[in-house]
Amino acid sequence: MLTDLLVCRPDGAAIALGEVLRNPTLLVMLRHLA
Amino acid sequence: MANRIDEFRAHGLHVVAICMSRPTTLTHYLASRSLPFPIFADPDRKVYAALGLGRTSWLRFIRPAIIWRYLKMVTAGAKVRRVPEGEDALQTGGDFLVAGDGRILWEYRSNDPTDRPSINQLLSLRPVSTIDDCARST
Repeated sequence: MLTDLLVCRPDGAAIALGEVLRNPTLLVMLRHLA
Repeated sequence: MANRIDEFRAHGLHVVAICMSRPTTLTHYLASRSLPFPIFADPDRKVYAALGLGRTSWLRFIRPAIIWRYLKMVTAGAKVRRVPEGEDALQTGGDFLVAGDGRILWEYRSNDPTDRPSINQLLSLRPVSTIDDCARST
């Protein structure tokens, strides 16, 4: 599931996307760094 | 986006960013600027793959409209930099409105890295305040 996928905080700690998506309305941008 | 983050918050939209950079690259990036929203690293591009985001082609970049947009960005002060190791310049991104249970309520899939919805378009999205609201919206 999408929510099970891991992303990393800048300090390198892994966090499940589901933990990021705790707010019911979240705008997620997937982008290159400018 | 960063300059108008208060409008997003007032509208009930919380913003996060995900990029394919490594955490160490992100740390260096964030050391030189502060962003008013969280940003996460997905160097394995698992989230990109899960969302079905593909790659564009170099041919896409030689279209006049794309070249013009890059020239405007450079003249506006954007720095041209090498693509960091492990990143893919041809990987496309997107913008997704995601409910707390992981359901995607709205999406904008970019055709190339310069293809983005306008800020006003993003601000026109309807916030969902509860999971029940989310269920009613489908």
